[in-house]
Amino acid sequence: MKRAGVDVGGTFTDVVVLDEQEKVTEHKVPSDPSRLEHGVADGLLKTLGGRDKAADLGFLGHGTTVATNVTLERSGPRVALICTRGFRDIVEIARLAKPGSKLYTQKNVMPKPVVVRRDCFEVTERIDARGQVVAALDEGEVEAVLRQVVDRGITAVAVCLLFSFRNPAHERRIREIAARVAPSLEVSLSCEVWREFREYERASTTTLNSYLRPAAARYLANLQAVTGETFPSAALWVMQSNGGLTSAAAASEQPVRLVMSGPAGGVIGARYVADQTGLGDLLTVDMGGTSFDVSLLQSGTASLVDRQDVMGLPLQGRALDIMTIGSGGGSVAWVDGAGQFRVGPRSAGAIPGPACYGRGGTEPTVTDANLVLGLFDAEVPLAGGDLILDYDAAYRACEKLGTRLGLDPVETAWGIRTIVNAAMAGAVRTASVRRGLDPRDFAMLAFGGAGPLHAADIAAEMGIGEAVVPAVAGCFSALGIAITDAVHDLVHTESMAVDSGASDTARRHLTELITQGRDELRQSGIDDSLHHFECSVDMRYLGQNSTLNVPLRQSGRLDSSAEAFHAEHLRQFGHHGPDEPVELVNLRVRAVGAIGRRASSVESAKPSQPPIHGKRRVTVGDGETATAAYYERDKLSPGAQLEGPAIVSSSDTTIVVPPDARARVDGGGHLRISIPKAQGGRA
Amino acid sequence: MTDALDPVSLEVIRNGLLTAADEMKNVVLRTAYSNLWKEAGDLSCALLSTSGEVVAQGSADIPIHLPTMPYSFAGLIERFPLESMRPGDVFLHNDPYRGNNHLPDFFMLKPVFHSDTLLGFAAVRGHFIDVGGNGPGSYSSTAPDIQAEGFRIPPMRIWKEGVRNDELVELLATNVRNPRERLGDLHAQYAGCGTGERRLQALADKYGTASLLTAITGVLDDAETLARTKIAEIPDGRYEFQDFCDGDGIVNEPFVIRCVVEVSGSDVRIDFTGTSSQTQGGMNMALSVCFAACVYAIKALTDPESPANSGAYRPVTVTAPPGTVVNVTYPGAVVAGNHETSARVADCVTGALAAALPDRVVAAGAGSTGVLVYGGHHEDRDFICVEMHGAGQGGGLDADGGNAHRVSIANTGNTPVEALELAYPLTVLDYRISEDAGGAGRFRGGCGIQRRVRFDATGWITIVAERGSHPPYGLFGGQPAEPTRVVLTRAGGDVQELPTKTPPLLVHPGDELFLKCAGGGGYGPPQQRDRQALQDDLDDGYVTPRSARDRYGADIVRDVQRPDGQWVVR
Repeated sequence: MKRAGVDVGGTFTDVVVLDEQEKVTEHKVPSDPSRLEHGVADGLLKTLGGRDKAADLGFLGHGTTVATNVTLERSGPRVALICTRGFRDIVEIARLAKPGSKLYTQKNVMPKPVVVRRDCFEVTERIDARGQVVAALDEGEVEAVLRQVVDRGITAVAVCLLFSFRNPAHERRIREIAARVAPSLEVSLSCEVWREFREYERASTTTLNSYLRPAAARYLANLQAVTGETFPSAALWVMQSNGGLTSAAAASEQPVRLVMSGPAGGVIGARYVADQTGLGDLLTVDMGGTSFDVSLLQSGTASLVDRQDVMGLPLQGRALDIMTIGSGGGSVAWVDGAGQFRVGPRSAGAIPGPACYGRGGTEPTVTDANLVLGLFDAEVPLAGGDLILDYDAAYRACEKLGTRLGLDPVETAWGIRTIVNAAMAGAVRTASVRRGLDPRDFAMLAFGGAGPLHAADIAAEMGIGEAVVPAVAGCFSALGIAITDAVHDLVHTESMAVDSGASDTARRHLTELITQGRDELRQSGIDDSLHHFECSVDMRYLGQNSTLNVPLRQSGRLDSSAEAFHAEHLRQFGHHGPDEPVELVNLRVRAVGAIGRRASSVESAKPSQPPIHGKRRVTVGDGETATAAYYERDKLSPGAQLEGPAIVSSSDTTIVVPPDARARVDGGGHLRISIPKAQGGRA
Repeated sequence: MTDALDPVSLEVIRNGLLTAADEMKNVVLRTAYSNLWKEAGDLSCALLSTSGEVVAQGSADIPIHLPTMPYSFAGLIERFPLESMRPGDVFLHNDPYRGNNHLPDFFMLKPVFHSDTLLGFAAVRGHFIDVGGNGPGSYSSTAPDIQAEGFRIPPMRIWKEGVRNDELVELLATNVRNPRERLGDLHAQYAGCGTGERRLQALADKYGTASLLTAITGVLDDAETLARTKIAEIPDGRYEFQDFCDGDGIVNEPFVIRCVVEVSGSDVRIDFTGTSSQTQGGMNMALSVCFAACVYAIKALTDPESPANSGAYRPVTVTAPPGTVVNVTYPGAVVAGNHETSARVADCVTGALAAALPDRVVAAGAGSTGVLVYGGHHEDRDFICVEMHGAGQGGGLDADGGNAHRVSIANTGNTPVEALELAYPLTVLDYRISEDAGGAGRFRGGCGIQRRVRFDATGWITIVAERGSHPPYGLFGGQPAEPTRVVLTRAGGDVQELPTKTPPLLVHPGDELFLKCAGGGGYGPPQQRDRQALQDDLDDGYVTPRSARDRYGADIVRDVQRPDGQWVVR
């Protein structure tokens, strides 16, 4: 049976199909927002080769923007929140501090919660820090509140009670009561959405879940109907922010896990490339029109975080660590009030867009700069579009800005590119340094429309020796979605000193978490033989606040975890205290259903000289103008070797090989650019 | 503009400096021990020029921490001249009489060399949760002089050419509570300075020492140019204002802050003649702190978005008579002046400029950090819990003040209730937005917050709050916010109203504290408030029916059938 990954974005739907021999077929088709689910089926049929091949498909992984779109448009429904008496304001008080970027701003500085105060209700109950009930749940109040919620026409309600991560009984009881008095309400419980301490973050995550549920459930039900009919043998799986798949039913209940559904595919795609190339330590860069995403893999394993920001609001839960900055092809260059040359953060977006789009933009953008520098052809339409680029408009825009800076148009364009490359290098450095890692120990993997245009220069800026552009650069997320496993991340907060009795308590909770994980995998129809469980524990020195996550044996024995904690503390922070008391904060289980594919390493290819398609004048490197060889990527076979400066063009991206660098196509079709040990300097 | 350097390199280096300051902050946060740093972020990082000006600061850093750095620097090089500094040296001090904020803020400075050339300095200022003195948390405003406020550290070379001076560290550790955690934070500071050093050196490697130094000058000069174009938008004139603080806890009598702001072209001169003499307790500040509060207010009104640095502050001159609360002389105490009186300084400058910038200004915000410290010894360990309660912004010409968020010169956040109860012997009974606390107005002031806490172990509490006697002002007909209240209810039922400054006070299991901090003032006459906005306030409970009638003059009726709320504005 074949397996497919489909990544639906706002503009394009990307489809990748793998056959039993791991041969990859890809297709990019325009998305039609009014019938996204049909777009999935149409794109798949096209890639499979027609309706008669539909039955060959056994596995359908899906990356979706349904949750992301609701957050971007703030188009979710009115939701209600039920809290412990005395604490209805937890979501508005939040963490009290202003966002760091708004310290000097005095008006409208706080992100708006998805629930308004009038819809935050209190019920009498209290559970203490040890999980003991100190005030019973007043069920009469619960009923009255639920009736009021229904009277207001609200259909989704979140419940977040203090210390429910310790003892969820009251939250569960509220759902039972709701099933009786208001059966149509969709109820999200904080102990199920994310069972960890910190009531504000938990409430925020739970209300976001309620906010996303109706749209996600509707979309996924429609999708399941369409794909079930068209591809009768294919199981439908949905990509989560944590890089693993889940069933459509589970995704409908916890859409809060889907906000990074698409980008997560790219990071898992990187794992596939890591398997093939043996490059386990990768910094991935994905540059589009308005944003630049960075993530990091060590030994082929992607870094995870426990918190994301959505609409400025915290969303707790395991997710791939994808850091985004607002630099993209559309970033606008300008001169500030002091005459300084600046690029971004404002973006020209799609309308008016870069000057070269001819849609009314007159300010130079990064895309205009790249065009003026000769890095791509005005005549080659941009990915899938019909747009012919207007070189003269780009040139004029750079010229106009340049006059104010005393630079000629090409110098201006080179300046724009240099400034944006440095900003992106800064973001990549931050992504690695904040984890205590040296970026020079990594290779860079570049995908997305504009990533390969800049990757080698960013790598050189940081002293990274190799940049890789994968074979499936344009549909890279879809590839990741096609090959990943089912993953459920579970957590239990249990703060206690690591002493003789702690291992028993840990073992008991681990067993519970594993049982819960097994149930979830079984419900998705995954056979027990494919289950495995990765246990870990968050630890800290007693009195410290933040924690480190280290592996834990299934036996629950904590001594080896404590040793690993001391070592990791030393590695990341430069100091540790082997004699200091250690505290356990959270137990974690990652329940994996091994339904994905790992790639096998590819064989090396015999060196060959590829055909040069042409020559062109480009301005690259330190600003010198040179003649670059011009190649078409689909004519480069494994083993092809080329020297910079060179431009490699394909239907969905353009790759720049800088002067002094050389590149080769490896056995997997990945373009590997070697960058001479550059000025990169100190970490 | 800088002639010697092309605009592209200048911009790349400028970004590099900003990234470096953020990177320093990341490293300090990752390595710190205390809640106050890791969870609430009470520290700031900067790169300084060779003359001690702040070139780049971390993007989320605390406003009151940064503009004082050049003063701390000047105090330090008086003792250790530049020519005595060597690579690997690290300096430390906390002395408010040598340019520091207050004793808890430790200023660490590392000179950065490239070969033999001094490139500048990496500096980290962080709030140590305890520096000895009277009561856990070293936060009593009732210490009679600077010596009583805690351990005072003159400039010292704590690392000499890369080697730590263990005797000094031991002296420090002996004089603070919970020394293990304090030393953890000290090493985090050290790690942050090292990161700043490496980034500056890397920029010099890449662009050359001369270009880097030229760029640093250019970054500062350009910030000044930009600030001057913004300040020039303020109409020239002489603007005056006065506001009050509650007292210092020794004498609970209000004292006055008075300022005259003179705007002339792109220059601003602020003078505090007429301000009260310095207090016995710690409500005073050094002139450097007063300067920091003034430039906060100017930046917030003229250019809130650009990254802050010392160049942008060059157009501002601040003067005050010595011996006043805003220009303390030895041995005046300063612990609370740093954020309580200084918040009033910012309110005063803002209030003065209201007439000049009615479209940009907002009425007074909470104007206080609202600190509650609870410390003691429980189950064989020392504990110190510090929580902030000052929140709520004033209304403006076109927007209500934000509810329940920190404002003005400080931005330290809270600790989750569940984290507090897991870590400390206390129970939070409720934690709410204070209804009606925002001043009424066409645009309402933001509501503040209130909390009721039950102490479950014997310990000491210290309170440093403000706005008990003179609540945050309204503007252009807007009403002031409701004042701050502090009430202690003893386990036996005895109820006691406490002043906003409460010296270390012994509490026992079962005692309950209610702390309600002021919100923000209103803007414009309340009668002009949009009726739908008032209806929303009633439905959301930010305004009670009584206040809708009494303060807004609204005609409201009750409709028990209405699902969104029973009160309807007619």
